Amino acid sequence: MTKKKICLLGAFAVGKTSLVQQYVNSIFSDKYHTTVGVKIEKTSVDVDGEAVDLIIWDLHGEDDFQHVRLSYLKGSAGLIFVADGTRHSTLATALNLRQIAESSMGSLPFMLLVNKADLADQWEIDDEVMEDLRGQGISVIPTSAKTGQSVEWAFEELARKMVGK
Amino acid sequence: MTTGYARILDTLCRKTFKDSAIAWFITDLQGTIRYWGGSLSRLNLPEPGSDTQICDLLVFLEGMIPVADDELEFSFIELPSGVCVDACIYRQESSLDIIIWDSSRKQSHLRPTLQVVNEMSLLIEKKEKLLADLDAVSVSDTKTDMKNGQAPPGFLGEFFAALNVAVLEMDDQGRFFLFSQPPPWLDSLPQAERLRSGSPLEEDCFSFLGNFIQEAKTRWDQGQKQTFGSGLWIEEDHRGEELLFEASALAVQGRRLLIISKDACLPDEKQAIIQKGRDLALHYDNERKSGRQLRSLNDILEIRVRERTRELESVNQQLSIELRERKRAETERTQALEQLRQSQKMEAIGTLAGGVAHDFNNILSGIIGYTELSIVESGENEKLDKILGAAYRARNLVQQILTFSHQDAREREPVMLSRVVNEVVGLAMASLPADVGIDSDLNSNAYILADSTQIHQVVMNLCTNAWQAMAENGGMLSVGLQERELDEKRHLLLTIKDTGPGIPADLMDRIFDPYFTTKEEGNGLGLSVVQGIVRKSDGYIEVDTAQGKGTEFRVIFPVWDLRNQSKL
Ligand SMILES: Nc1nc2c(ncn2[C@@H]2O[C@H](COP(=O)(O)OP(=O)(O)OP(=O)(O)O)[C@@H](O)[C@H]2O)c(=O)[nH]1
Ligand SMILES: [Mg+2]
Repeated sequence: MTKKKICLLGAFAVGKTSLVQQYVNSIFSDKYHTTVGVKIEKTSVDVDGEAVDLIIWDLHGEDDFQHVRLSYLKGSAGLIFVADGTRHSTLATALNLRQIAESSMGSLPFMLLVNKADLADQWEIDDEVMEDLRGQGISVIPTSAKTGQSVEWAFEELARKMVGK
Repeated sequence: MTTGYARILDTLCRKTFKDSAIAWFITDLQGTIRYWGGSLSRLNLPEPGSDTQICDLLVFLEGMIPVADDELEFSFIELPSGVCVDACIYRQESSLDIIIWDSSRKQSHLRPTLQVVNEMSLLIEKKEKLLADLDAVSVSDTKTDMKNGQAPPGFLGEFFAALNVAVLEMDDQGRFFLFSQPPPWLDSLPQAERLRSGSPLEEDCFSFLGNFIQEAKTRWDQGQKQTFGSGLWIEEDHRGEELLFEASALAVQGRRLLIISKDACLPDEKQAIIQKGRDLALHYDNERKSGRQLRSLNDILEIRVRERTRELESVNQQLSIELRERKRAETERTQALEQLRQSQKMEAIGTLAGGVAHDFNNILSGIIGYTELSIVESGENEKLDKILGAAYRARNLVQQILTFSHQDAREREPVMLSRVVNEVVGLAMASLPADVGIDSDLNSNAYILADSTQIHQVVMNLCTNAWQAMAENGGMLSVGLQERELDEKRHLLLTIKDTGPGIPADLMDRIFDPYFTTKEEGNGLGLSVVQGIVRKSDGYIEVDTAQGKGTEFRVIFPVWDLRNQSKL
């Protein structure tokens, strides 16, 4: 069976844990429990008839206090960068992390999720910016860990890229 | 070599780390487990079989094997089983040595700190604006940043707005300007326009605050921080509406503030508001003091401020409604009391007068009787005639008193008012001075239900007053009688109008008082008796007077219908 490691990276509180929990366990909580270190989840996904085990590394958020250890990225088959649509600065963090990851891991399949799409009225990242990034060949997907919007699709799309289909 | 190494690890785990949740594995470079040891069960891991892959047990190693580096370290890896481990991996020539141990305890120490740090960071990010506002208020040095008349941001602004007060701040020259947002009632304060424009006002613009400002300044100069109040004062606004104000002076964060509130409340109500305000202020102060904590509690504070603000607003609204209601009720009560007092007074006077009059009548009967007897016995006697005349006048007066006090029992009968008026006018024509003209315009022969003698008295009295008012400068006495439809019923309107000097305004509400008179020789019962009679005849009196132009009395009686015998 194919096993693939995925890492989720992004600023703190953007919803990495929430996205994973929504995808793996179909649950969502409004309460914020910050992740210390790494939380590993395992799930399997069917990619066009092929079962793929996903080992999902939900990393702690990047900020001034905790920096993501590059060693954690070892062995990853794909990366998910997460930004919080209601906090403009988190997009810069995500893009920055992407550069760091690329310089140490080379180019891997990845996605950029702009989370909390359900809070449209507080949105700070406009369509233009996202369109711009898409123009650079980045898959930018607005998601909501709360409503589940595009969550499953995003993980499966990455899995598809990882197995090369 | 490998087995010797394994034995050392095993011994270490059993002897040195015997109470710890620690485990070790030796695998080949592909990750197949060769040796293992330690407390797997305490790490919630199953025992491996003969060719179990390490990745099946330690799922986080998936993708890492074969390990490229000599050494790898991980901390706080939360496995799907829920166990949190630290891990070290060493690459040997032909094997991987892996040690894992429970790090939940370490994690449980770190987690709360990280949680707070992250929450704080989040709040700092999210509430930057609010923080800026709070800082602007909490650092007194920044007060120069705020222009005069500009509403204080954030907490204080909302607080004052909720309290519905006008807050004035004193500047270094001892002048005052509006500190808070102007409350809706600001215009009822003197100088409201200038206050609103934000220009600082000299203290004497607030003369309505009397010595209060002086006292406030003295206290501030002495560095006293306690708040103190002005007591209530009543101010009339430009519409003449009376408003109740109260002021408090306080020094807060280096600012010297006058808080003026309208519609001051009852002590209980005030207590409730102050209590809420204090809670809020305490909360705010604590938050401010604890600096860093402020940031993490900011969110809560903001929500509380909003909640409290809303609470205060509704309490305030409720209060002013209640206050208005209470004031109205109070006014009504005072009016009713006044009326009651008036009628009690009248009643007392009436009873007294009635009692005296009866005694007087008896005495007079004796005087009249004996005088008449003496005249019969002694024949014509000028002096006795005078006594008799005076006694008769006295009896008339007593009769009037009895009428006023409703203690005479006269019968009412249908009276043709025009006939009575004609008689009086005829009499008046004969006795009026030459420079007083008379004009009579009688347009109805309707009847009223009354005592004809008394009605005679009413008309006579009013006409006498009228021509007496014109005695000095002459004038015109106009008497009119017309029918009027009032409340769909026929009424008779009798007008008696002079062109005299008019009744002074300050006397107007006393002219119907018994014993009130402006005439030296008057006995004062005149108009009160007139009113008594008119009322008894189901009528009422109105007066209009204009200084220098004259006075008009209007007497209105319901018409007695001949066909309506039942009223008799
Ligand atoms: N409305 C809304 N809230 C979300 C969404 N995703 C996450 N949240 C909330 O955002 C907060 C942070 O979510 P987490 O999933 O813990 O964020 P994280 O990225 O794992 O945070 P760290 O582990 O500290 O880096 C939580 O209060 C979530 O409930 C979303 O899609 N919509
Ligand atoms: Mg997390």
